Amino acid sequence: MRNNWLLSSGSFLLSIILHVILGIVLAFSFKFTSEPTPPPIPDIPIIQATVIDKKEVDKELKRIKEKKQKKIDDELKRKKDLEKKKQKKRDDIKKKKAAAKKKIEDEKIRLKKLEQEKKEKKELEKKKKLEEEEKKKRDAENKKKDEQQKILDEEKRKAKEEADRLVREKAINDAIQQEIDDEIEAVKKAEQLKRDFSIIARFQQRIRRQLESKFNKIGLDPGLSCVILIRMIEGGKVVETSIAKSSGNALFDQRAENAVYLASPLPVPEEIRVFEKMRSIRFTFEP
Amino acid sequence: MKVLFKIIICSLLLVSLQAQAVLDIKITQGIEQALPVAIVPFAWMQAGKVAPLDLTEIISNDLERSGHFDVMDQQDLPQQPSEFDNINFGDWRKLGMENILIGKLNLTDSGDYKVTFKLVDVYRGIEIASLGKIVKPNHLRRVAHQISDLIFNKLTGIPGAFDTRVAYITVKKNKNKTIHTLNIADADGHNIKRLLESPEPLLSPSWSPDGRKIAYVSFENKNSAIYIQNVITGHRKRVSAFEGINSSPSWSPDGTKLAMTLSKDGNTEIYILDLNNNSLKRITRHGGIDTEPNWSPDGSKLAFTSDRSGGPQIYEINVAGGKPKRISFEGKYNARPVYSPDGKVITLIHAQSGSYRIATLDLGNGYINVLTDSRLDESPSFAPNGGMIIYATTGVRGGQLAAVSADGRIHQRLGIQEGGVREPVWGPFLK
Repeated sequence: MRNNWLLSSGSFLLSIILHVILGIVLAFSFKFTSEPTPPPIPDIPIIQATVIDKKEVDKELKRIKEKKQKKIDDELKRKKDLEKKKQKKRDDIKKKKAAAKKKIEDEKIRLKKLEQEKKEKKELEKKKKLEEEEKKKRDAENKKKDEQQKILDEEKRKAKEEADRLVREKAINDAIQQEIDDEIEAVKKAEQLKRDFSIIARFQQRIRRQLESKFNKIGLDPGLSCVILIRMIEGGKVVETSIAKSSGNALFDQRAENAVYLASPLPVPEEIRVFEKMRSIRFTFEP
Repeated sequence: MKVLFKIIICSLLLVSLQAQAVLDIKITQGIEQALPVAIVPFAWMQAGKVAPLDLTEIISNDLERSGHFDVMDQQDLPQQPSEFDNINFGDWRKLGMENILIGKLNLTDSGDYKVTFKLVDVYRGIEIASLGKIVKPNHLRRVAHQISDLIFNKLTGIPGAFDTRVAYITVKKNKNKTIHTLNIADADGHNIKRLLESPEPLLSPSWSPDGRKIAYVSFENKNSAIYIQNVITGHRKRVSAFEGINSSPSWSPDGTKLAMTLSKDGNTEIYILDLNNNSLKRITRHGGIDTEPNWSPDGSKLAFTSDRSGGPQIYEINVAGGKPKRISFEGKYNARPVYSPDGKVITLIHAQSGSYRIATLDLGNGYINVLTDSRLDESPSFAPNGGMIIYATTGVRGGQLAAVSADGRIHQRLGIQEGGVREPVWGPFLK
């Protein structure tokens, strides 16, 4: 047992040492280098240092050897696996590292980009600002110009508008005036008509009275009537008479007609226009 | 071509006249004024001799007296033409003169007179009437009246009654004697002829329809009798002298009969005497007084006065007999009926508040129209033209002749200016 243990402890020890070394190496290698490191070369000379019973020893050796081999193989395998794992891990790390690096790079790029962007932005802004200012200035100028133009235009527009307005107003005024004139004319006409009628009515009465003062019915039979048409010239002189409807009594007709002659010139309005309306008269004598 | 043009113009004028609005005026009033007329002095063609009479003056007086005419004063005449062609119508029209009479008077070789005249319508510039007449010197006055009649007829439409005569009675007191005279005269009062003078009353003259005879009542034999006297020859004949009253003779329109009032049968009744055979026919039979018969123009009826109703009223009775019919109802006193020439109206004496006035009774509606407003008028009779009624009115010189138009509007003076005139009666148109 002890041997074993010894043996085992020796090999164990050896393995621990080896392990430690490996670990350190690993650790160091892991720690300090991110470079992929080649697998560590097994340290055979250390094992040769311990030999026991040849046969047995051989046997043992062989067993051990086998065991060792197996162990080595296992170890190798394990190592390999480990390595694999490590590799994987490394790869992962590497990957991670790469990813991180990439991330950093990316970040860097991003930052740089950001910076760039920022810078660009800044530049842009600056430019923009400049442009804006310029634009502003330009705009202002333009605006000013525009405004002037605008004012000018406005003035023009206003002038035009005013002119238009005047024209329109004039048209409207004209129309209104026309309407007023028309209305006035119509009212005037109506007034005139009214006035004419009243004038005619007045003269109608005068003519009637004048005729009645001349119509001498002395000795005439009652109940007779006749109609006499007359025409006057300006001034009321009767120039045409005709008996439109005889009374059947020649003397009656004659007296009626004489009344017209005697009354001539009849009182007529001086205004020719009014006179024209009463130039012709139909007298009905029915005393 | 010219004529066609004129026709077109005329028709255009006509159309324009028709197309134009015509003002209507009704003349419902008129005046009743004497008609203006100018009688231009007749041109006397015989230089060196004096015209026998003034025709112009006779005509002017006739027309003026009628009340129908206003004759222009001679000094106002704008011209004195005697030929139509010389009339300046404008001058006359300016004066409002409607009608003028122009004429000429010539002495013919035989000593007769040739009268020519024209009545001219000034406003129409035409002759209304014209006449040329050769007359004996003693007929000149009558010709003047005939011209007046023509003017009157042409301008009033009524036949003139200037060429007529009037019969009337005058009563004059000469010292202690009273003289009753039957007179006839021209309607203008000239040519007075005394037909009969009597110390006893003469009453109720009545003209025969032909104007040649007058029937009247005379008391020359102390009793009343009816006589007929020829106005030309003066020959007179007594036709009724019955006992009692013989009064109020009235000729039938055909001149063959005389209606009268007789009391021979005891009561005062109306009779008709046939002048051809002297037969007498009693018309009325009544206890009251029936008197003053007057023959209707158509000869079928007699109007008379009767007091059978209490007071005097007018009745009509058929000449063939029958019942009399009372026709006057207004007032308490209506008497002395005389028919108008057209038989539509009766003129009578109508008593009104104590006065006796001339009135007419319209036979159509029975209305009485009082024409005069004097105190005592009597004996109305129509002029033969029916336009005037002659009557006697009591004035300052006693009875005087007066005339009034049948409608009462014109009161006419008569040329007879004698005093004491009674019972005038207008004679018929002279044939």
